[in-house]
Amino acid sequence: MVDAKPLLKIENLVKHYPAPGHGLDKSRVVRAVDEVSFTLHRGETLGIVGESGCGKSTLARTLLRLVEPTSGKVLFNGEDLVGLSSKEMRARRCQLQMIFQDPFASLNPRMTVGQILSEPWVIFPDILPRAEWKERIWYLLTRVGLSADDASRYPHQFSGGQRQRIGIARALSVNPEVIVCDEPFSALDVSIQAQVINLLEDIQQQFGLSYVIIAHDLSVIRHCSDRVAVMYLGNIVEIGTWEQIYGNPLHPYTQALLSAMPEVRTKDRKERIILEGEVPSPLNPPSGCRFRTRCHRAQPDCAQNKPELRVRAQSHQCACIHIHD
Amino acid sequence: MIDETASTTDDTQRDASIGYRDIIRALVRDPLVLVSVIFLTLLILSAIFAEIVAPMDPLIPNIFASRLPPLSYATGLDGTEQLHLLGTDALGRDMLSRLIFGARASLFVALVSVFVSGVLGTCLGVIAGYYGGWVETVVMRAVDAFMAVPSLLIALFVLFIIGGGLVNMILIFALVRWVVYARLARGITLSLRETQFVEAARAIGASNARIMLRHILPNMISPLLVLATLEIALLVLAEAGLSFLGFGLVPPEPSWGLMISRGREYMREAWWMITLPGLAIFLTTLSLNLIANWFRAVMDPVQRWRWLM
Amino acid sequence: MAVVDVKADMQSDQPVLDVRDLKVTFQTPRGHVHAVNGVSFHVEKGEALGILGESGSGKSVSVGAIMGLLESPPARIEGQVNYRDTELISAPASVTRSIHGDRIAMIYQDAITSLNPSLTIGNQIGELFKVHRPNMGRREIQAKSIELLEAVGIQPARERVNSYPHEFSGGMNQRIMIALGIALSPEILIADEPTTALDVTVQAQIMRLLGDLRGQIDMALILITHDIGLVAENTDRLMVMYGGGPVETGPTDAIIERPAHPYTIGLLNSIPHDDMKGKKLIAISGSPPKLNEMPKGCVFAPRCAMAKDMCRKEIPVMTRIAPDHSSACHFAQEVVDG
Repeated sequence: MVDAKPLLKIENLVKHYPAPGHGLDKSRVVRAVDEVSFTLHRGETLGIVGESGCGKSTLARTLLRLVEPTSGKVLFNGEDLVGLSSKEMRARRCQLQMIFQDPFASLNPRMTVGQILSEPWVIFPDILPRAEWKERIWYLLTRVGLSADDASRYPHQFSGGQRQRIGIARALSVNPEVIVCDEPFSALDVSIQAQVINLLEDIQQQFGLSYVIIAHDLSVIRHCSDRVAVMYLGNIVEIGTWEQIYGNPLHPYTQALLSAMPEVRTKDRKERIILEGEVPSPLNPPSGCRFRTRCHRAQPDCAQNKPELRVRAQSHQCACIHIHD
Repeated sequence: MIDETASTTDDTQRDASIGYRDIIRALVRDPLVLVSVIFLTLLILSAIFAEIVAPMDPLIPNIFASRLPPLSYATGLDGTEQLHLLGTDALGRDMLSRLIFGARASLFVALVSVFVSGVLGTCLGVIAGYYGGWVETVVMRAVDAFMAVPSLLIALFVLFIIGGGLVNMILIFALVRWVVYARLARGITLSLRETQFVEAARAIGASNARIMLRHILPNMISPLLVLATLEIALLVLAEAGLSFLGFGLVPPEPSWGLMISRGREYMREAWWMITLPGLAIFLTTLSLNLIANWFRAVMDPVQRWRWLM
Repeated sequence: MAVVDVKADMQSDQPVLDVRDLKVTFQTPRGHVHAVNGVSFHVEKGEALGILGESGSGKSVSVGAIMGLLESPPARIEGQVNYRDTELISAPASVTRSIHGDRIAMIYQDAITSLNPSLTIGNQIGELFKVHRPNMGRREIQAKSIELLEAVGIQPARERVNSYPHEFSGGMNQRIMIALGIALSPEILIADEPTTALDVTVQAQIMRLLGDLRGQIDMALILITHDIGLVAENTDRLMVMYGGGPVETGPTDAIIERPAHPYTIGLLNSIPHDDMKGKKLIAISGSPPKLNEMPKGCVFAPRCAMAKDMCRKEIPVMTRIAPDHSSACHFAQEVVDG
């Protein structure tokens, strides 16, 4: 796409948690992320959508090794992060950053904004000589739309939107190549959300960043992403360019999800596919296709084989056995 | 309606969070706590400067002036007329001076023990909560074991074997009381470990030691302070109890517990000998408890507004 | 109950709920905070009114005042809340008790914390009948509870009535909340962010359920949310709130087609539509005012791209730009005409 060699390549990433109350029984596990593969190219934004419990947040943490993966590979510039020792991994952390969902919980209440932003430089003194800290903090703060005086203030003195800007500045302070954003807008008010979306796009262009944006809001994902992956119960069920996912969704779950999205304008409203029930427990997912219990097009054979992600059109993959066209 | 209060207090909370000025203002508005603070401040100051503050030497007996009631005059050993504001004890030693030096002993034992046990317990609790696994199992089983036996009983038993005295007492208190801090610190660590700011610190490459010291520890200071205040009160009582029983400080060292135990023999004829040290213990522990409760409320964002209003 | 229904029919042209100049002030250590500053609206029988606003807009505090949920002090409530012929703010507790929870019911965002974890859902519905309908028998209550659970789609209701809240998922608990809300066939159901904690596919289920129930028992709905898409699809009329007061009221479609307040326009532009793909969103600059430092003049002026000197000095009043469509902007007409 943008670059022949992907910046980040995830191969069969798996994260299983021991099931609560079954500490000794290794076979009972919560399959939070199950055999997920995708690639991310330089300068690209990949959106990951799905409902709560689909494993998208675990995926974000697993690929940054904030949570240790059970198996699989995370190839960053060709190097597998999963095999690294924790010391080697810490040295790579500057290249992969994260922006968190809750701007009220993601900043240490006992540290000033200046201390928060300069913490990585304390840990890795090679990044920036101490003499340049002050100037760099000022630059970062003004870049994300805050003022230089804010460096001496504490997080509680800021509003939610401003705190999210501090979180973005912190991620930028180490000059990363990839930023994983876990629901970066969901805690923000609508009018603030648009500002932060614009800010993320600006800094992406300026610093040549690649994003993995995780969100449940489909309109935000449409706006921000070049490619979109749809997750359901730990699996990617469909992945493609935003035009393909929004214009020609193939998987019944993607179709239902898009139809459930409330639209402001009457002309945008689609015929609603109301799904039955709720997402089953990842402790005991349905056999075969995991979506079949709620699928409006389920057939008996959906229970037998687990559908693989298959290429349907250029770069458009879908995991459903009943799509032949 | 949780949401509504959240959104309104949110804004006010953002501004009204903990400034020294707010705390002092809240203090002035709460006379009982203010009196407690003043009392403790005076007590601590007089304990520190006991040599200057105390009118007489607490150890020198004067058998000619024994068991004088408060506000009595007596001729001292140097021949001058002296006022015994709070009377004298069986050996004619000045009660006020003994109470002041007793405060020094009691507070010293309590404060040092709380400091040692607090540091020990907090470190072990944070480490146990942060790493989990076998470290946690070992620490928490030890906590359970100590919790299962009354700590005063252990102290009594050990002091009986190794003998009383200041240093032994501090060591014993530290040994039996670290568990309360460990339990609290572990609990808070477990919840802080999962917070996004700890995750964010890990994402920028912070080491485990740094996360514990810079991100977890500072966020548990207030509850630890509340606990420590209550513990000081408890240890003042424990010191008095053990000294009373004869397992603590050794006579003629002035200690509130020892003074009570001496005063017991003269309860009928010299009420002040037992009442005054008893009152000192009572007021000290009461003040500490009042301050701890008040501090807890002021530090609690939900309750804070009532106190700051 | 029958008496109330007859009365309701006699006065059907009068609004069921009429709120006039509602003001809520909180006393705080840093002085008074004006959380709600003169809110007026009415609800007709059976209609769906949306109240749209961001956090701090006063939308939740307003309904808290209407429902008598605010602790006073610190809250001070002024104005009128008329439910038919009863003014609720000045009415004694003996009167409001028969209206709150009975004629006007409410459901909340967080269903699981609003339900008592130690009682079966059957008991919780039964409790409601015991308090508000003391002459109902045990059997009748049991039958009615099962009927309600069936109505909100909890199957099999006869068995599930003996389950505890933790045995249900988030969406199911929200359905139970709705069952509790409609149990006494209220005339008005206030839904405060009823689907914010839920996934879109479950949200679609819940909103459809609310719509169906509303048709069945002729109940008015007040939907409080920050989600424009949700009010656009589910309400007849809309009140947009900002900084403690209404900025625009009118039929939902009219407001979305021809918004008459710069804030409403800003909100509509903030949503990423498909035709904005690849372009920058037209965001509203700045952030909402703090409740204890409200700007002089129009509360939106500091963030408004069209603000003029007048906006920073004079507080705008609601002006009518079409029958039933009003905007609190000095330049409402210019805004509509574009």
